[in-house]
Amino acid sequence: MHQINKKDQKIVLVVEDDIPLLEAAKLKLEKNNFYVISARSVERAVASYILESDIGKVTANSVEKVLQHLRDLERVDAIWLDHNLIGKENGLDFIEKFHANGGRFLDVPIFVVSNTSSIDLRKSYEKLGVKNYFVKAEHRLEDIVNAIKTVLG
Amino acid sequence: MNMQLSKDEESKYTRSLIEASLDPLFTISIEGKITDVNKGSIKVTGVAREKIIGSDFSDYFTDPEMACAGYKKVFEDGSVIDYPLTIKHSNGNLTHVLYNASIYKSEQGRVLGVFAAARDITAKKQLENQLEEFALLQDQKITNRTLELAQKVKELSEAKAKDEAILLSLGDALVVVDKVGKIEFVNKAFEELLGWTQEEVLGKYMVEIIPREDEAGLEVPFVERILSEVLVGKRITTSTVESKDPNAPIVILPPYYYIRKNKTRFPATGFINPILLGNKVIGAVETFRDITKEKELDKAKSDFISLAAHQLRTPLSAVSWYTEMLLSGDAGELNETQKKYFEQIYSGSNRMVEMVKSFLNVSLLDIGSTTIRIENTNIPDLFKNVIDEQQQNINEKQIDLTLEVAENIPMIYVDKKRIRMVLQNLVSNAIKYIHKKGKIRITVNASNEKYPGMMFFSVQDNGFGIPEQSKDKIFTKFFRAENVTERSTDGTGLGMYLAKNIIESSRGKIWFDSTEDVGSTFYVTLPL
Repeated sequence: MHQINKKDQKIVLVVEDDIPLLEAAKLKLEKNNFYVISARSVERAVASYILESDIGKVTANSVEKVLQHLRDLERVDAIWLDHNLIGKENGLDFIEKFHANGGRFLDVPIFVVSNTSSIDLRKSYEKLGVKNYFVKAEHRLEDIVNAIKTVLG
Repeated sequence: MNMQLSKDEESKYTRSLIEASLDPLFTISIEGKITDVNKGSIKVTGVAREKIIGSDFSDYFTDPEMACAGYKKVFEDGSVIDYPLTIKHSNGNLTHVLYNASIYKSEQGRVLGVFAAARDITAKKQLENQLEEFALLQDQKITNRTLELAQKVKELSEAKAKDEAILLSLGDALVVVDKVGKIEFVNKAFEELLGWTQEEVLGKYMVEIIPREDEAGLEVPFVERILSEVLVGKRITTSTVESKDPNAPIVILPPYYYIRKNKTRFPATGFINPILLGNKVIGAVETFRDITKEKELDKAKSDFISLAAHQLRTPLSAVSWYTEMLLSGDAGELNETQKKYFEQIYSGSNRMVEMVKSFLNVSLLDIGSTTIRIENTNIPDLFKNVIDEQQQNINEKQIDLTLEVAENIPMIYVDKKRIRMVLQNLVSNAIKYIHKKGKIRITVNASNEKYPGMMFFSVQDNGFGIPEQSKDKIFTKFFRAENVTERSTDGTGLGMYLAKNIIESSRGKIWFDSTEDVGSTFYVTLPL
């Protein structure tokens, strides 16, 4: 289902590798009137994959999809970011690439939602200036979404 | 006085002189026959005058040939001095003498014979013999003693060789230093581990030639090296999982690295013991070993556990969130029964989440003492950190939580991660087992009168409290008091068990006061 992005709808990018959890996040966010774009890897999240794939695999449709994703990404209001993702890059790599764009990208609030409770990892994310760090298994879905809602006003 | 004596008188005078001499006197003819003797000679030979005169001079000696040779020498040389002979008495007694003899001539110069005077040196000779015997005896004694000593030295050398062999063959590296830290002995394992030979390191300062650095590569200054502190007699209290004995050797705490001769490094762990003579420190002994393999194993275990925890949590999160959404009515309104069932599912999944968390913690502890990391820790800050983590729960339950920190709380050397776990446990329990709008009071102070030399903190709540019958089981594994299980708050029963384990391994104490429905206070002391 392709939701129409209304002008006042806030855009949330959900970067999560596990499909059921990605779906749950999407459902709850949409229920709270957010427009959700998603990706399961850093590559997909920053849409860099299209440049690297073989020409044969690139179709007009896939290009259109990517362009739409990038347009949405440019206006993203908040990011739900898991640490472990598909591929070699993880959440920390995503933040690095995302922030490399500079400008408003540096101000987008990032909510890390991971199942790793490592204190060292938490510290690494806090150093990068994330808004919050949730351990998935220890928080209600509702509470995470509410936190995002609160920050975005 | 008239010196003109008649020839006869002169002769008598001379004779009386000869007879008066105590020394045996003889005159001997050219043929070797005795021509005259005095009383002394008669006495010493025991032969009558009539018999002696005319007999062979050499008859009266133990060595006749020697006697012959003696008087012949006199005729040749004119005189002989201190010629040793032994006169034998007819009864067998021997008299050792030294002869002085010379020829005497007539007025015309014709040689008449030999005049021999014997000097009795028997006593002297006896003494000489005694001395010789004595010397021999002494020699014997000395020889015996020397043999004894040689034997002892042999035994000691054997024992020393044995000890050295043991030391050399120790798997762990061993180094002995003197009281200023200079190396006196290293064993083979030391040489192999560090790449230095014994000759190269003897006499050098251990802390200089073998630098020590931490994980980050920061070198530990000489004076801060535990070896240096041991040598000046400092007693360092540290946390170890193994020993609670205050007299136990000081453990060097990992992770630290020793630098080899070739500048590479390896992680090590070991012990340092002072060598005491009475109460004085006269040196120290250090043993250590390379724990690279153990560290790798630990990392592998730790990585595995993290992975396992993560893998378990992902499906658990899915169950939890979808059940949550169902219970929130996101997929439509539920009837009472459906609601009840989903609540059970939700509760079950929550318990699993807690279980995973606790098992993660327990496994971390069981991984072993090599992952203990002691660092200078600020306990009040640690509390603040733990409280921040729980802020959401505190707000939800509208709990009034205060943290009272006394002035001048020093930092203490503890395993920060593990102590944090304990604080986390105490605070989260206080929050869990309390009613809405409850009160929690945390205090931290140090070296008060009741607990000198210790850091002391308490976590007090006015929550559910602990029933009498459960009190002695609180610190056991998997125990949860009934009053808590009835109120459907989740818990695995491992927290308090872990807390006690950690605090006691850190040489501290943990205990509590509690009254059911009134509240509980947990107390902890840790050495400064």
